Parts: sequence; C-alpha cells; structure tokens
Amino acid sequence: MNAPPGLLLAPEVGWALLGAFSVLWIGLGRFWGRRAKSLDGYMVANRNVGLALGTATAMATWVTSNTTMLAPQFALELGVWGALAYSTASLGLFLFAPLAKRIRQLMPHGYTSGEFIERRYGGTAWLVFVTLSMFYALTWLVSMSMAGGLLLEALAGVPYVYGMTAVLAVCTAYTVFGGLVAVIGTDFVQSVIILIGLTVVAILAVIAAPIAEVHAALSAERPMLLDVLFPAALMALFNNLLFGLGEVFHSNVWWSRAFAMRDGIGARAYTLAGVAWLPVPVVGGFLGLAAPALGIGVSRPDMVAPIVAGHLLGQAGAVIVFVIVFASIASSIDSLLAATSDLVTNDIIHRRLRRHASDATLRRMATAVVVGTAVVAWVACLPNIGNLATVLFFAGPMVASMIWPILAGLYWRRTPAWAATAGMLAGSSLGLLVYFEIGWYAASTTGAIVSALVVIGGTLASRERFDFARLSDGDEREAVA
Amino acid sequence: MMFSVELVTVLIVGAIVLVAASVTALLVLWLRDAIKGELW
Repeated sequence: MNAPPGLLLAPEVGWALLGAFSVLWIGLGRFWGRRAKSLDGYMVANRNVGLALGTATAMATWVTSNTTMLAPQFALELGVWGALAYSTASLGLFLFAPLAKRIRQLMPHGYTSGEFIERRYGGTAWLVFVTLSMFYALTWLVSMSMAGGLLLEALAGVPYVYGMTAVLAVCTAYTVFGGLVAVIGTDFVQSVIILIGLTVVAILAVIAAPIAEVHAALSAERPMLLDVLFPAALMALFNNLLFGLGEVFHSNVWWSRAFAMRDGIGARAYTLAGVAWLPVPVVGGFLGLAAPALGIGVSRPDMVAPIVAGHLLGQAGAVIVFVIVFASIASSIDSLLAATSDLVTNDIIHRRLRRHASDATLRRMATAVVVGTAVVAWVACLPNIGNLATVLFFAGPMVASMIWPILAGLYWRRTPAWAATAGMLAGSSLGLLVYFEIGWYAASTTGAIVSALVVIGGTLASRERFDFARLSDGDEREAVA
Repeated sequence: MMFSVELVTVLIVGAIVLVAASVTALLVLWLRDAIKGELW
C-alpha cells in the first residue's frame, strides 16, 4: 500500500500498526495483571522483580519518545555534541544504582518518593516536593502523549487528536488491568523491540548513508555540527546531565521500581540499564546528523528521525521507526501513569484522607487515579502547544533542584528540613528565571547549583542528627491498613 | 577543532554494537531468570 504524497505511511497502515500493538499490549497487560490482585502487587509488583525484568523496565522507561525523537533533533541542531549530550542522561541510571540499594534498605516496605520526603523532612517539604514532582510527571506524560499524536500524524496522516487519544487510551487500559506488574512485563517486550529495531534501522541507515559521506557533507555545509567547541552544545551537555539526574533521583517512576525489585537486585539492574541506554541517543542521533548531509529539508525538527528513516529506507524504515517510537512512548506513559497513581493513592489518599482504608479499597482507588491522570493529560494535550523540547525542558530546573534534597536526605543525618525545602524553592525559581531570560539549555544547571548551595550550606550550619530508622518506623502497619 | 571522521565512525559504530550487545544480554538474562524461576 503506497503512502499518499507528503506522508511516509498510508493512514490504513498507521492504524493497522496501532491496532496490532494495542491488542498486544492490552493482552499482555491482562495476562500479567493476574499477579496484581493485591495492593502490593498493583503498586510495587509484589517487591520480587528479578534482574532481567528489573534491567529492562529501567532501560525501557528511560528510552522515551524524547530519546528516540529528541536525540535526533539534538544532533540535527547541535551536532555530534547534541547526541553525546543526550547520552549523558544515562548517568541518571548509573548514579541511581547505589541509591536504589539504599532506598530498599532504608524503606523495605515503602511505596513512594513522596513518602520518603515526608518522613525525612516533614509536611512542608513534602508539599513542595509533590507539587514539583506532579508537575514534572504531567509534563513528561503530556510530552509523550503529544509525541504519539504527532508521530501518527507525521507518518500516516492520522489526525493528531485521534492518534494522541488512541495511544493514551491503550496505555491507560493495560496499566488499569495490571498496575506495575503489567507495566514491568510489557516494558521487557518493549525494550527488546526498541533495541532490535534501533540496531536494524541504524545498520540500514549507515549502509544507505555511509558515515564518511555524512561527515564530508557536514564539513562542507554545516561544519558547526562537527565543532568540538560548539558553545550551545556544551551548555546542553551539562544541562541534560543535570536534568537527567534530577528526573531519575526524585521521580516516583524510579523509586517505585527500587521498591519493586527483589532485595539485592536494584543496584545491578540500574547499572545494566545505564549501559544499555547509553548508546541509544547516539544511534538515534545519527539520523539527525544524516539529514543535512542528505539534503533533506526538515520542517519540524522533532520529526527528523521518522522523516530521515522514511527517506533512507522507504516504507520499511517508517514502519520500524513507528514501532520503536510507539514502544518507547508506551513504556514511559504506562510507568508514569502507575507511578503517579501510587503517589496520589499512597501519599494523599492513604496517608491523609483515608488512613484506615482497606487494601481492596486502595487498590480500586489506584485504578481510578490511573484513569483520572490520563484524562488530565489528555486535556492538556488537546491544544498541541510547543515542540517537544519546549514542553519537556520547562520542567528541567524543577527536577534539577530536587537532586540535592534527595541525596542529602538519603545519606546525611545533618541536613535540616528547611534547607531541603528552600533548596527546592530557590533552585526552581532561579532556574525558571534563567529558562525565560537566557534559555532552556542553562536552566537545569542553574536549578541544580542554587539548590546545592542552599542544601550544602544548610547542612554545614545544622546541628541536627536525623535517625534513619525513622524512615521505616511503622512501615508495615501503615502500608497494610 | 572538528570531530574527525574516524572519531565519528567509532562513536556511531560503537554505539550500534553496544545496542546489539545489550539486547542479547537482556535476552540471556531473561532466559537465566526464567530457568531459575527468578523472573518475578
């Protein structure tokens, strides 16, 4: 079936692919969902996830649509350093590895990152943390749901609203059926699809556009993309590194996996996931680098990967990129829905509104929260504002400002609550100021530096000695009401 | 100063090899965990 002019796939092919993978994900979600009958099963996959599934879920969740579509955009606009800058986000996984081990030790029956902040720093810090974290989660969710709609529209001419709605609805359906168990199970299949698909498309792309030819064309026409000292790209490198650290360190997406993995698995799983993730943006980035060399006009930079793959490899390339990006979108949307639902169900409903609610009641509420979160994201996606980078990086300074409160809270007894709260507020405020006055590429760095100064200064001036045993006090009693 | 063609080649080819090795390792780990009954 030939694609209409201007499209890479016929709309029927786009819908058929979407339909086939939707059936697969929902079917697998229902199958694995049988393990998620209890609240612990639904929220933390019964705390018994092994190394293979643990590694795959961390890797697949971190390979978002932003990795597969923004990394090529970075390479297109910032050159070789752009792809390398995106790769630095793997440090988030590497450096979270020891944290995952410590989190499991300190809170063996914990559920959320918000619960840690509240036990460690109290209610005010929790309120600031949850506000920033929920904003970030929604931003991430919106950027990926938008990516789903944009992808279907760019590749197959499916109207944006229909495509976005379908992608979000499918992910919501299987997350509702099986909670974190379904999410982790499907993540394994999705990670295999992503890695095999990337390998195939990269090999075919290198054959179609040899690296030496791409390099020669870039040297002649856009030498800045090969510049070792490209200032904006170097700033993006540090910004992306700190953004990635902030995202992983604070987000309940990663904490819930630390709670879900079997004792002794977390550190190894996150390290292996980092190794697997590291090369993904470089491989995707090659498509962005090849675009100017091949003389391909790119009207929407965030669509450069499917456009180049379609140009180089025809319909087959467009199909492979569609499958890779759909898998990466699904593996992250499901994780966000589950982790946000945990945060709302545990931190707000259970710990504040319904302290004596039974497991069964909370399990039902968690399901409702998944659906509610998806509806909020759907409404936010409708106007289709901004490109993917704009949407995502707005949250950068906020997440970067949470790096130090988390780190200090896990390892330092002396860090006082006020320093954590002030660090998050000051880092976010000044980072956002830089975002608007200078640019996104310096915002996360500012947020992290300001927050570090406040948290470290407050720690040095403090005489407090926090008892880490308080993090697990009454854990089981509270968790199983 | 520019990234040389050799360095760009090493970066791209190295990344492709690492991605291929990762998926192989993931499948081997899955098989090992499945045999030992340690998937979940």
